[in-house]
Amino acid sequence: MIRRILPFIKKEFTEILRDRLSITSLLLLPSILLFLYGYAISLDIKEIKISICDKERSEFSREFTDGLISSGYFRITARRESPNEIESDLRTSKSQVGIIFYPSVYKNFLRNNEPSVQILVDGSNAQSSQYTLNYLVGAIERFTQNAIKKELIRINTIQTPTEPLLTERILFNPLLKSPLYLIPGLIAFVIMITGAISTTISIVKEKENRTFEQVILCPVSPFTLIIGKIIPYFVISLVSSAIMILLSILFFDLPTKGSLLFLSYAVIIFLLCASGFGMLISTISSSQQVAFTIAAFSTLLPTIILSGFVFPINNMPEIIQLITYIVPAKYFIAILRGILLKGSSLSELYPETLSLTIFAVLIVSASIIRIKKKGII
Amino acid sequence: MEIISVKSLTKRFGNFTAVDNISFGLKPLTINGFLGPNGAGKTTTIKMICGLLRPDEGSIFIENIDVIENPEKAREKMGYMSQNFSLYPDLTARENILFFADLYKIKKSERDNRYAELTDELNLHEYQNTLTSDLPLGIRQRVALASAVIHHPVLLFLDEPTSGVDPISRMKFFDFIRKYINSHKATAIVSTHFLTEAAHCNEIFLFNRGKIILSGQPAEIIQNFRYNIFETKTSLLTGEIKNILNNSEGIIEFYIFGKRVRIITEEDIDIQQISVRTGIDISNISVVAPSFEDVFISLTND
Amino acid sequence: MWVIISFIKKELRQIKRDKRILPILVVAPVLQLLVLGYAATFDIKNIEFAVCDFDMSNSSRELIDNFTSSSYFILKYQTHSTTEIDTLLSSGRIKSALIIPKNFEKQLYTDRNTKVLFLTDGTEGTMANVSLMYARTILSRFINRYNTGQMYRVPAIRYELRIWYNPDLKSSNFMVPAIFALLLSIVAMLIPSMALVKEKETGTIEQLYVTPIKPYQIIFGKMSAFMLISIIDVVIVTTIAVLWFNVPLRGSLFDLVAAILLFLISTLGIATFFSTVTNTQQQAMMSVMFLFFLPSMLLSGFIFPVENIPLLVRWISYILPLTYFIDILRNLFLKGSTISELWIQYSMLSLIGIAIFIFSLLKFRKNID
Repeated sequence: MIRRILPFIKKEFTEILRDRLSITSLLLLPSILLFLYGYAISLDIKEIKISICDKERSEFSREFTDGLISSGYFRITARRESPNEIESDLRTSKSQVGIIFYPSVYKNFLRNNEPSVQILVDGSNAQSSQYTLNYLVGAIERFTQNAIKKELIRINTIQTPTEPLLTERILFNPLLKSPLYLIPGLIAFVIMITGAISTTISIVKEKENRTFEQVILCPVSPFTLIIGKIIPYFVISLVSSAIMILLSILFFDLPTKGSLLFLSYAVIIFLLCASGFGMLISTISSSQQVAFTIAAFSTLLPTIILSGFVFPINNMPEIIQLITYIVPAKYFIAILRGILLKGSSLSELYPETLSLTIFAVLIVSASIIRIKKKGII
Repeated sequence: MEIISVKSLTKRFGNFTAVDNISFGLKPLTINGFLGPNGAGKTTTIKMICGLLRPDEGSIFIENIDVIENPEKAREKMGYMSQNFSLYPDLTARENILFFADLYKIKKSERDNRYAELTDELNLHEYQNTLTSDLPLGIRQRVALASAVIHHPVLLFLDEPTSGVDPISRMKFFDFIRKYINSHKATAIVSTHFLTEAAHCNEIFLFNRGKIILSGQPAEIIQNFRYNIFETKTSLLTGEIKNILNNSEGIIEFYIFGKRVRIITEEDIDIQQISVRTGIDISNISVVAPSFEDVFISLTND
Repeated sequence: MWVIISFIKKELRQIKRDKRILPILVVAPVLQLLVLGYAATFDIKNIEFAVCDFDMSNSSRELIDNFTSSSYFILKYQTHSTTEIDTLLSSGRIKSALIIPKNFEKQLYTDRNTKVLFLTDGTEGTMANVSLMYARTILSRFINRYNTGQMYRVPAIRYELRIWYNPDLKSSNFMVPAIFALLLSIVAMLIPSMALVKEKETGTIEQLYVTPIKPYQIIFGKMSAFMLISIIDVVIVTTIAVLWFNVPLRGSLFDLVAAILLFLISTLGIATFFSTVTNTQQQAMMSVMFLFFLPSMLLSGFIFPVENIPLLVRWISYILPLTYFIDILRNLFLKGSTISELWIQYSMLSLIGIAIFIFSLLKFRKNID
């Protein structure tokens, strides 16, 4: 078996290595992509634009707006005279939040009557408005808390007021740096795309050019042929993934607390999923166009949306959560985050590792069975 | 009156000169054969005349149209069939042919008439609705031919139309072209590496290494052949024959196929001398008429 | 004109003949929108959460109740060991934890420095951020209630919240138009990029070159076929967005159609361009994929806000048609913005579309050398 495969691997390697451009791009492209996007994208909420209408400029309104600005999330883009202007700012997207302080807000506040503040939020960006709302509500609650404290001191009540009492600790990524939690997702995304698509195209291209027909006459099984075809790409992807992970550890300050052996295992298994998937697609496609269409639809968006990369899986409807079980990137991202950021060990991540391994075995055997039954042409 | 005239045509690909300063003129109502081995520059020349490739130097005129400047003007008159019988594999024979008819803006009624005619003449009836990817090469060739002539072009460019096709189909193919030329007052250029197909042409052009090394009417060329050809049967081993013939004077070239040896000699050498010089038994040697292979080989010898 | 029509007919026939491609091009976007439209949600609820209550008092129980009744947190484990909390967090079984020390209640009544510890997993940044905000708010409320219990007159900010355009803050209202745009770019940019170059690979392009068909006719013929398929997708997918996901379509249908057509022209233009400058389907598809599609996914504002992108990279966002298209769609659907309000986006789309088409026409000469 091995002896039969070797010539194919050699031929494939010679072909790939001869094409300088494609070998460099296969090796370096993943790292370039990771860097570009690793630096570029973030989910931080900052500089949410606020328009303010505050005629009175009371102590309350000043304190409140100062608090908002110093939080780092907001930027005041306009101070308006009338509530109408605030509304038009929202409509034309000049600001996302409008805050209107009504006159005598502080007095009303202490007397506890009349609405005193109106907050208008442009809800169309559901993402940032969630933050905004939560933040504003929290800010108001805290403001109240302070006011109550002052009031209690003023009226000198029976008991000394209790101080705020929350100690917060963010584990694993204390500064909540975007790259740290996005990089594992990006790595998975890049491996999936380059792995699955390069495998698919390399096989289907031979199918379409009918060069397979030539080779099939040789006394080897189609299975040997495919394996021989895939191993070189697999090896190259492995090398490029290693480079990519190494560079990201170095440049993005990933803590990398976990075991490197475990990490390598996860990468290999995930790559196996990707190439197995590519293999399966190429066995069912007749042309490059079909193969690529299937590959594009089944890897691009699902790997980003259904993997927990950005959208937390347990917020999805239950049926959709079930679908995420067949997205291998989901397990891989969980494992990567565990190893790179938390230093988790295999014993802590065994469900994900087991699922990923089962997935790899299933997808590779599915394509092998398909090849054995139907051949490759 | 020349329908196509080509002057000092040159085309280079990097360091390689594919077509090297060639000039020729073609008369109307003729089949012109571009003969020569693969890579001799036949296809490149045809592509330049069709306007598919831009020459580096030289001029091409079809009647009065400068093809290099106005390729579109000449297109309506041209029919082109490429050496890989470029058809859409996922369309049927019928769909392929009619598609090209549409590109030439042939009116529907006329288009259907021509289609019916062509399927008759080329015997395509039973293959009409088969995907061209499923057709054998010989049939694909006929479909490609039909696609190339559906708009009744008066200039036919057929690039290696017979490669990979069986001898009977090749014969039929030339019959069709001849009939077409006569009925449509057309002119054809056919490139081929089968030197035997020269016989089907009015005029042949022998290509070698980017140059035309000989041109003229086939009969004329054979007549003007200055050398003698002998054929002999021998039981000697190849090495021994080579040894003998290489050391004999007056022998231009020889080639061995099977047990027979074909010898091209200087004009003034006859059987007697051959026998003397080589020691081959005279009763075994015969004089044969020269073929185009002989012509070609004698010309490319040096 | 006749030539283009017959070319389109031929294209459609070829697409139809491949039994797989048409179903995929029509069914896949629909299925994906149905799944992804639900999946792409920023709502953060049901944060898995554990409690370590060393106090076991009424107050500590009340605080825990405040957490669990909020629908933000879902109580998964209750334990008395901090090491267990550590393992739960590092294995990812829970995302945050609340630790209430002994004497919590006693200190609450007597001492100024009562403490509870709130832990959260920073590996999923969004979740961590939001859970912190929730925790702070819940705690402030808890204290306020506790303190105001001793007062006869309670000061409070009466605030009125008004959320415009998307009052329920449904993520799907925000994400469905964007997913729609991205699916459309697969159908109208990635796949067509292989179309023209396929004729180069099979050699049929030479056959076309010798006919009187003009280069622009070949391009328009090819692209119109994909335009047709894209429009079918647009109709189905818009219907699903509006009727199934209830994304409000507040803008005018005319503006929507204009935006879609402009977007299709620019994406098909990009496809054409790469089809003309490459020689194999593989090259064409890889270039479009890495030079346009991936940037479109990550830099267009689809998920990651454009304002967060460093300026140097943001220039890439500005040349992607998707950046403008997503912006238009979101504003048009949710705010009912008009062309005059979004003229910058509309003109950028047109500009990109026209520029890229002119560029590819210039490139696509009849000569193949």
